[in-house]
Amino acid sequence: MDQAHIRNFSIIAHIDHGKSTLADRMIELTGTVAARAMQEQLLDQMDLEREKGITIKAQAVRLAYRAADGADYELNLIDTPGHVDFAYEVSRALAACEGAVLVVDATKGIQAQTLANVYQALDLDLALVPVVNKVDMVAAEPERVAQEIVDVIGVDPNEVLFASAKSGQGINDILTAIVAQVPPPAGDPQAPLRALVFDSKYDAYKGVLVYVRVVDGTIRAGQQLRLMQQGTRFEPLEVGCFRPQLEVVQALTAGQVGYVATGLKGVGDSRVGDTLTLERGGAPEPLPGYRPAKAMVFAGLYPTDADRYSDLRDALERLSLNDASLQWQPESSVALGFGFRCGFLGLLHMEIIQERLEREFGVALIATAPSVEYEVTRTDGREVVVDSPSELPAPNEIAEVREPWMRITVTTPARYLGAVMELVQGRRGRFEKLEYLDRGGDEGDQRVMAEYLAPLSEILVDFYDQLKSRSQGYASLDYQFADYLPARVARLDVMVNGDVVDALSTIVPVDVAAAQGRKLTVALRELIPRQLFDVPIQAAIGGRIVARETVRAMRKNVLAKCYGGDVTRKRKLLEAQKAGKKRMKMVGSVEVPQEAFMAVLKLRE
Amino acid sequence: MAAPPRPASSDAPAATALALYLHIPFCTAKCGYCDFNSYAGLEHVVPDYTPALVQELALWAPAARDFRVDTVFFGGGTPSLSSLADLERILRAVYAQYTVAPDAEWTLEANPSELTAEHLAGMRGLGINRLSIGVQSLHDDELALLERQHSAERALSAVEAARAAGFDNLNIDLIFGLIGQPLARWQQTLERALAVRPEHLSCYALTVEPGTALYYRVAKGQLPEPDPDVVADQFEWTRDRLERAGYRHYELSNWALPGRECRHNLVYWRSDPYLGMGAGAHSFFAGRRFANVDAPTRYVEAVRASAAERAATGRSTLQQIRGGETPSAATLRADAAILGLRLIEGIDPHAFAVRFGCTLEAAFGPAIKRHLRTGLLERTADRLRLTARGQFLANEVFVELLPDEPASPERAYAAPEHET
Ligand SMILES: Nc1nc2c(ncn2[C@@H]2O[C@H](COP(=O)(O)OP(=O)(O)OP(=O)(O)O)[C@@H](O)[C@H]2O)c(=O)[nH]1
Ligand code: SF4
Ligand SMILES: [Mg+2]
Repeated sequence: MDQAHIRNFSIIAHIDHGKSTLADRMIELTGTVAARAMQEQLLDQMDLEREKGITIKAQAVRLAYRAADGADYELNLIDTPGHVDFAYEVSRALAACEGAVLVVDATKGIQAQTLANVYQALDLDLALVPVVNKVDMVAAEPERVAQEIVDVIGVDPNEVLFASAKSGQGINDILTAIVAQVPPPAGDPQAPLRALVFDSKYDAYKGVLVYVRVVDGTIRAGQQLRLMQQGTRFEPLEVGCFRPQLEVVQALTAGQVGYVATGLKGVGDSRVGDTLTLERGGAPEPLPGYRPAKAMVFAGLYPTDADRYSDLRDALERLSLNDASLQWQPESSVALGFGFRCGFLGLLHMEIIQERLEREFGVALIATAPSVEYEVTRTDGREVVVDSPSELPAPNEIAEVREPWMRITVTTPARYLGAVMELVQGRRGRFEKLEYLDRGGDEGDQRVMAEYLAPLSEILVDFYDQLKSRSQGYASLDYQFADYLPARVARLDVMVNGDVVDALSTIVPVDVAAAQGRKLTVALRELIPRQLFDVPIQAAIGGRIVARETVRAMRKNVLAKCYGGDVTRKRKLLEAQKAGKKRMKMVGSVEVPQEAFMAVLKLRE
Repeated sequence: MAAPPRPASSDAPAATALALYLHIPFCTAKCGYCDFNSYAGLEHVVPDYTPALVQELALWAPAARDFRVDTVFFGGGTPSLSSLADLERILRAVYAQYTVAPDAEWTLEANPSELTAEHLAGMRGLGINRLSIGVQSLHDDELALLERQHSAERALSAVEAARAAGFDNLNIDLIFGLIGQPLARWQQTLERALAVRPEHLSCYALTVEPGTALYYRVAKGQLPEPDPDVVADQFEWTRDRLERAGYRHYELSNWALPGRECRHNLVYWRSDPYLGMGAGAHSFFAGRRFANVDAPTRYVEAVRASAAERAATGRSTLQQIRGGETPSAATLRADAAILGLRLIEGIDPHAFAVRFGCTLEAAFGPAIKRHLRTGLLERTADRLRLTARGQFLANEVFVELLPDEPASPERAYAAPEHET
């Protein structure tokens, strides 16, 4: 395919506005996948994506499209996730494209994430194809939403397209517009090879697969290739494209998107953002690559079974290949043994990583309560970064602590502004600015975009749910790191059966520390099952006990009669009990269930 | 009615003891807590059921040729619903085809409602020498909660009637830890039961079994869950009270006057062989555990098919068996230890080693050591047993005796080879 007939684009939108469904219709219309193999949100291939109904991974697919004038085009589509925790996926996908289809739900209008994604696309100078989707819905307001897009994003009114990804209406127009408005890739097929690694994955048979966008030159199987930053050399086993299953091709040339099976088994050999070139006659300079993702939330991940530490390490290595935003390094805990301190982009990201580790790699995990990262100036003048409560210096060694604050963008009908404001203030947040998104009719109906600043630690838990419920579902949320600002915090320690359990420590604002300690001990009393002896649970701040509860010793655990000689059934019941115990962690001589380590998340009422 | 004729014993007595369990799955109504294989409203199956049970006895007889039946237990369901004629047919089949010990224990589970003087006399005449009466509670409101079909008064008069009919070996089944039951109420029930001086008492803590009516009421929040501390108090009181009354606590839930332990149930706890016949009955025989299909109609069909097969080919694949397992050596050891520890006397380490070719220490060393320390297990001069505290926390010990690999069930069951 000559370059002039290639178009590379991402589909971007706020969560749930219909990106993956729109991709389905494009796949159908271009006959890329046989009708019988078609299913809803085809590109959401992970079980977790299908269960949760959201896209987690950006996913590429190559479409063969014949335009109205009879010309054949190769379209490389990348479907992206909408949730703020996966924004890094979006940014990497966009860097592999010349254009973006911006989807806006006709019943919702522009939402916080819509803008965040648009800004990313505009920063990269991508051509935008705005689409108002879900026009089939009764509640759709296509004209109003189109106007909003014109006003807020500043596109030409004639360029806004209307579609229903459900019924298939308007899909061909979108493809026509992509061909017309997205420029073909600019690279030079004759120049030395430079291909951007935008994602990767481990395959048991083919080794590390790197997903690439070829910028200059051509890749063929059998060539000697080199990853410029890592310096890794290899001869690819195969070269292919996404249909969306892997499909072998002869070559990938400038402008094309595809994968290279490296055959490499060492997962440290490649890195997302690296540049792939030829071993001989390679490019002199690598491509700019990516800014690393900034982890926002940190937690310890430990194997439930201590013997599986190295399995967890392997799993993390392999998973980081497929998730460039995951950070991790070894740590140890007195209570939990050896594990890893991991950094995530948000709580959903953390939950997904945990799930993927357990499902894809079969390692049962204990996660500790998530924490944000603090900057600490010590009294001796040294600066330290603390992302784990156990690392917080003693109070008398702390000159100042600074915590991350976020810039929060909320879009909402104006009538809920008061409720949103109240919520933000309750989380130590402050108002920054307000913008009107449309000219609206009724004042309360008018949609606004409000900006606030708030500490990340305050919005991690339950903020989004509260925002939704206080705005009857209308408000949407985006946030970005803003700054580190001074904080008055202390470490709340928990003692179980007399011993401090480091994995249960949290960093909390000084003002609420004692109250938090009381709530936490009550929560733990409910979560820790009764043991063979009384288990005291205490909360302490700087060695001073602020709360105490007791889990009373268990007195009864016995099966009733062995009815009519059914020994097998009784044994099964015991096996179930045994399996339940296995999921617990022995902390000293106390069996502590997984959930207990996350108890602190449940404390907001 | 006279006892059925005994077969003339020709040879020397058969060597190994065998227990027979015969299941009668019919009930007049389903009790709210019951998850046994029992059915109300299946009276129309009864006429086919007895012949099927008789046929199944015949199917197994060749395999049991070298055994001596020491105990027979009619369980249910409600065996006391069976007509005397049906019972007689079954008893005759047992006597005709099995070697039965002269002093065999013949137990029948009974509900108070069926225990009329006439029926009792008939059963006694047939040779039933032990009755296990499902009394459960001696408070009418609690009986209503359990959805039992009799009153407290009826239960007590049934016991009297049984005595009058000559039954001198009676068990009374009681349930404690009823939802919302204060200790005093349970004390009243037990005191009233003691007043009639049964030879044997089974006192079970109520378990809210999934799938029962009671379970749904608890799940829906209509009833609270039983409070384990209250149940523990009741258990401790019961143990003291019955000891003072001269009963020997011999199994976690069972007490008997000296010498009146239930010989049939001892077979389960000692991991001795038993053959279960009837719908859903369980067996432990020739190193395998297996069970029959649960549904009475399917059971009847399957037994008929097995019998027809044997008539045609001389062999039978025992189609009534729904599945089973051949436990590994490790599983057999664990079963034996778990069941054995249910007995208050505990396990004889020497006998265990002789039987399994492996000492208790070799099999369960770390678990035993740990629970000697936690105080749930103790050693006596010649035994390993649960401590007084351990008795009500037995599962804490048992789970640690299980082998690491769970036993794998066998779907297709191959019957033990035997000629007919
Ligand atoms: N009625 C109607 N429903 C649609 C349309 N497009 C998508 N949907 C529905 O909207 C929901 C979200 O669609 P997805 O395609 O998963 O949205 P998404 O933007 O990919 O979501 P994320 O990847 O999680 O950000 C699904 O239930 C779709 O069936 C449409 O045009 N009309
Ligand atoms: S009488 Fe016994 S077997 Fe029948 S339903 Fe009641 S508890 Fe169950
Ligand atoms: Mg999607």
